[in-house]
Amino acid sequence: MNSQTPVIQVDGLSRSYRDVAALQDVTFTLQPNVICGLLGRNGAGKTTLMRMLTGQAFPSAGSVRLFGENPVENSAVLQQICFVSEAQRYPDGFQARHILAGAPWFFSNWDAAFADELVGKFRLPLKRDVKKLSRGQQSALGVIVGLASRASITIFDEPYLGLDAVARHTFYDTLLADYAEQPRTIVLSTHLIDEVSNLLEHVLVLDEGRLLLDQSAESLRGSASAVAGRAGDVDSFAEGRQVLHRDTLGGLATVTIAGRLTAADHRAAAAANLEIAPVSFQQLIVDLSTRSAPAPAVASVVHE
Amino acid sequence: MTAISTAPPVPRLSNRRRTIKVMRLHLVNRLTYVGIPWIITGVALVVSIVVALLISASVPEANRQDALQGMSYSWAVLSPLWYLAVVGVQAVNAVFPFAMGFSITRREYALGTLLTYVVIAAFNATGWAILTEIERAINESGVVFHHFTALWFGEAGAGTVWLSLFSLQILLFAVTSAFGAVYARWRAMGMLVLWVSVALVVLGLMAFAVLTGMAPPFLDWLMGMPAPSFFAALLLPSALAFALGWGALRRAPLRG
Repeated sequence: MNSQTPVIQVDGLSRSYRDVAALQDVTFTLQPNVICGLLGRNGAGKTTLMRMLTGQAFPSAGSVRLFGENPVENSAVLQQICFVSEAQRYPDGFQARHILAGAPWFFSNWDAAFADELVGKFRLPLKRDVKKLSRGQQSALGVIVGLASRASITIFDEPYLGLDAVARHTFYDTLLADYAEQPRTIVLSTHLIDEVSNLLEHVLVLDEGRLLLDQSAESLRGSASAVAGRAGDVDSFAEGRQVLHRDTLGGLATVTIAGRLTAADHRAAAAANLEIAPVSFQQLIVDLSTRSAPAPAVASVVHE
Repeated sequence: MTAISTAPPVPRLSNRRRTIKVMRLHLVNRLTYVGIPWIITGVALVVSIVVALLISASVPEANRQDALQGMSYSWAVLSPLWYLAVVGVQAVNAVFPFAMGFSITRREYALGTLLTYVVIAAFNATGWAILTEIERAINESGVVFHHFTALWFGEAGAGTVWLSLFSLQILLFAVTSAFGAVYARWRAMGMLVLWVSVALVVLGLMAFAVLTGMAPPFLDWLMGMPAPSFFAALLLPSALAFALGWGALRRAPLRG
C-alpha cells in the first residue's frame, strides 16, 4: 500500500430503506491504481455502496469523496468513473452498436480499437436488440464498456453473470493485461471469489451492511490455515487461537484458524497427527461472513 | 500513466457540450424519435387515402365533395402524437437509468432531454406543416382530400399550424416525462399522489370558476383567443410540467 491521496474516501456511510439498514457506518479509503474486490453475500450492501460511490443513490448519513469531491451531480468527477452494473437497463430498440457509438461521447479515455477487439473476443452481436441478447452477452457488453472506457475509477458490479467459463477468463486476462498497461482503480464486486483471487490487490468484505474486512489481499493470503484431525486433538491445538470456523464429521474435526502458523505450530500439529492445509480465499471469506459471533467493525485476520 | 495526481486526469467538458451529447445519445437510435413517428404519419396518410377512395367509390358523385369534406374532422393528423406520449415516458423510464450508467449527471440528462424534445418537436412540426401546405395546394387545385388539413389545420396559416404542432408535442413530452420522473422518484405512491393532486386541482379550478360565475367569461375568453396565442400559451403548462419533472428527477435514486 502506498501513501498517495486516496481516490475513494468513504466516511461513516449509512443508507436505510424504511426500517432496513442497507449500509451501516462504512468507512474506508482506496488508494489509486489497485484492483479491489468488493465481496459479500447477497443483500450485504455491495450494490448500494457502489451506487452511492457513483452518485446514483443518496446516503442517509456519512459521505463519499472521489478524488476529494462529492460525486453527486459532479460532472467533472463522474466523467472519470465508469460503473458497469449487472442490472443496467437499456432503452427499447438499442443495439450494442448504439451503445458502443455513444460511449466515447461520455468516456474521454474511450479506446474504440480496444472495444472492437473485445467485441471480437466476446463474440458480441452488434446489430441485435440489447434486450434480446442473452444474459451472458449483456454482461459481455458491460464488460466491454467498462474495459474500453479506461475510466480512472472503473466499478464492475457482478460483471460475469451468465458469462461462460471461457468468457470469464477472457475478462480476467484482459482486465489484468490492460490494467498492467493502463493502471487505474478497479472495484470488482463478485461472488466468484476464487476465480478472481489472483487479480485482487485489496479486499473489502461487507456483511449485513457492515464492513467486515478492509485489507490488502497480500496480507490476507495465507493468513489462515485449516487444521484437521481427531476432534479432541484439533480442539486442543486450537485452544487459545482465533477460530474462524469449525466443522465436525463423526470424531473428526476441521477448524479454520486465523493467523500464520509458526514452524513450532507445524511441529506440534504433526506430533498430534493433525493435517494443516492452506485456506482458499473463498473459504476464508465464507468463514468470516458466517461466523456466529458478532464481528468487529473492521476485522483483520493478520495476526501479531 | 503512473504518476498520480488528485487533479482530474480527464479534461472537464463544458456542460453545453455534454448537453448536446445527451441529445446525440437520445438520437443514436433514430427509430424512436424520428423513424416511428414518420412511419405512423405515413401509415395514417395511407389509411386516409384509402378512406377517401372508399368514399369516392361508394358515394354518388353529386354528394362526393360533401362526403370528402367530412374528412376534415379526422384526427388522423394527430396520430403520431399519441406515440410521442409514450416516448416521453420511456425517455425517463429507460433512457434515464441508461444515461446514469454513462456517468451523466441528472442535470445534464434533463437539459439534454429538453433540447432533444425541442429539436424533435421543431423537426416534426416543420415536416407536418410542409405536408399541410402541400395538401392545401392540392385542395386548391380542386381535389378534395383532408388528412393534414383537418381540424383547425385547415383554416390556420402555416405559422399557426407549425406552432400548434410544436406546442402540442412539447406539452405531451413535458407532461408524460414529468409523470415518468415522479414515478422514478416516488414509484406507485408518487403516481397516486400526483393523480389525486391533478384531480383536486382540476376540480378546485372548476368549482372556483362555477361558484364565482367566472366560468362563462373564462370560456368566452378561451374560445375567443387567437389560435397562435392559445398554442403559444400551451408552452406555459409545458414549462411547469418540465419544472415538476426536474424537481422529481434531481433526487431520484437509480433502482435495480
